[in-house]
Amino acid sequence: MPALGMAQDSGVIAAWRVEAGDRVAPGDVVMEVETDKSVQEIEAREDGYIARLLFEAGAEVPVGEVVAEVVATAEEAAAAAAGAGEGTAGAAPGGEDASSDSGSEPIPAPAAEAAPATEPREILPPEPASPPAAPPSTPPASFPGRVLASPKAKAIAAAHGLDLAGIRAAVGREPLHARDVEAALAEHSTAPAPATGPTRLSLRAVTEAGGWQELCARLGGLSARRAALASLVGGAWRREGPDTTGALRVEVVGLHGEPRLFADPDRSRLGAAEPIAEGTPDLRVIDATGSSLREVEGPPEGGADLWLLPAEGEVLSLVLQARSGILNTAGAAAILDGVARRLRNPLYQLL
Amino acid sequence: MRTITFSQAVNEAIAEELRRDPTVFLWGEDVAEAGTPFKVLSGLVEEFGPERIIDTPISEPGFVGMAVGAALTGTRPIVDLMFGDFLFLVMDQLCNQAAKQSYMSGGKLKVPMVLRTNLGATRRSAAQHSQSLQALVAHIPGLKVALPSSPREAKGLLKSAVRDDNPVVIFEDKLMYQAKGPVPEPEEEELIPFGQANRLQEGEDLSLVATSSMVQVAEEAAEGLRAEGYSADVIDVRTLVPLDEDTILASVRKTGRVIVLDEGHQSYGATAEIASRIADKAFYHLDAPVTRFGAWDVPVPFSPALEDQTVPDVARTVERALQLIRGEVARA
Repeated sequence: MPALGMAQDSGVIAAWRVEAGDRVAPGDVVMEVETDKSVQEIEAREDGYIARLLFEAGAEVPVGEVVAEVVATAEEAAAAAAGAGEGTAGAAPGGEDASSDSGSEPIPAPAAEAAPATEPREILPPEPASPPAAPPSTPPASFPGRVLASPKAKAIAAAHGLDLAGIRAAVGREPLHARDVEAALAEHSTAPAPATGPTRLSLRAVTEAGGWQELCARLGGLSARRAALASLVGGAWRREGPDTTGALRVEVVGLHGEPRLFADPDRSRLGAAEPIAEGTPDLRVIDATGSSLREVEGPPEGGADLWLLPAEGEVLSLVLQARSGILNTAGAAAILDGVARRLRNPLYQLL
Repeated sequence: MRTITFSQAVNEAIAEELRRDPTVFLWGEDVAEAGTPFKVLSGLVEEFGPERIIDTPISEPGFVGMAVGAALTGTRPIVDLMFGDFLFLVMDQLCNQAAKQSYMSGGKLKVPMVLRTNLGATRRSAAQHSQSLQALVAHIPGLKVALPSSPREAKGLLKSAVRDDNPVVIFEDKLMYQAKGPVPEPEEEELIPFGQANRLQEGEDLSLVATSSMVQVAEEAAEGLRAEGYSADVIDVRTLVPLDEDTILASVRKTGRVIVLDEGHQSYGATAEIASRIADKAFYHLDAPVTRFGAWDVPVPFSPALEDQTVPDVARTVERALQLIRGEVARA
């Protein structure tokens, strides 16, 4: 039951416009609510199916009470309707309040975010408007598309590449202050390097690649070519790069076809490495040699991406991008140079 | 350092300047035999005679205008304006004449006069004898405004005012005349320079920036905050013109939260100007809305119960400070 007025503590359901099993979409009128001043149409806020109406038309319902449940699928709605005779309405596991209020957007309860999608989710109705006697503290004011934060909190978040919306979701209120962002920052700094970290390195090399193209002609098929590329790049990574120990997974991605992931491809004969089913690659190789691409920009999709791009004739352009913490500049440079040498002459792999 | 009253400190400052410089003199209503209604000037006429401590008729525009003329001819008049509320009577002499002479003469003329007057409510003096009009004066370019907050400040700022070549209006808190405080010995002359705010307490959580009568409120509020586990910077602004922005901004950049206190009416007042400069120049350091605390926008009531409500006090300052520190203030 939404609060439609400052001093309203309950509303009468004048009429239902939907019944159990109906599909609703945002904007659909689901009920009419009568207050001491007027009758207002209340709209659904999310897609779904009406599972149950928890009050009869004519009932007077306190503000904040759940009046109906909305579930994701027609089957769940049917199941809920079938079980409706057994449980009591108040003990139901929630369900979305189909009502909407005319003012601010509600903040979903954090617990609802984590609930499995197959269960009805409970989204708390908007807070009733504060009574005049409330202390001058913070109501959960929310502006769509904007996180309320102090200038200092924003400055700290910007300096560290932190997402204010994520911090608000974790804190569960706004405005955010410096201490909220600092707490998130402290938590963040103990976690591994962020996938969205703002800093990265990007190196570009150009090499003549006649040896590689000759090898490809001998190997024939696309699968062998990918395996050979994984071997050469893996060899450069392990022998030229800073980390020479441990397992190495290289994923080779073409512009067409499925990516192939290889474990320790440098230990197989050129072109003979077998792809494995799953795992997280240490390095992704994007083979765009036959394409029209000439430049790549933007952050790597994985921890480290190596692009093979056509330049002129038998010359290839290599771009290695890595997120901070994955490779240092010297290590990346050594690997990239190793790859270039192997593409120029695959026999380097044997040394 | 000895302890004397605010009144004695003002008296000493004037006496010392009269002894030091024969061009200094003082006039105003009831200044000689009566020594002013607050007895601030008692004994001066005995030492310096009626030629230098001069009683005037009850005509504020007359004796302030005469002082402007006297200053233009090379003397250094100190004018006693019995109540700050009487400033409205001397606006032309002060704002159109004193403030403009140097500018309009291309710097050839100067008006080295001091206008001593007062501010402050809660003396049960009603609406026409309780106003704090410093913002009104500070608005006019060419006038300096000093706001002493203790006996020591009163003496040091007044001596600097007498020696300044520009017209200076100095507001004394009429409730503070009998307050005692440490003041350096007469032989240790202390001139407090204009445009240098004074940090009285150092803290981390909040800045309390205050003028005149509100400095004491800020100091006691800082004590109250300490009891809650928080610490505050307390800054005495000392002079509204010139304003020491650097000290204020440095403090707010450190704490991220500020309450600006002044006993003038809050709307369009001294707090508004200081708060605006903070919002403008320390915006990215702010962790809470810049908060002002001035007097209500009402004529000061005669009723004691009502009058006490209209001016900032310690309890409400502490309450607002705690809301800021705890992030309970949102104005979105």
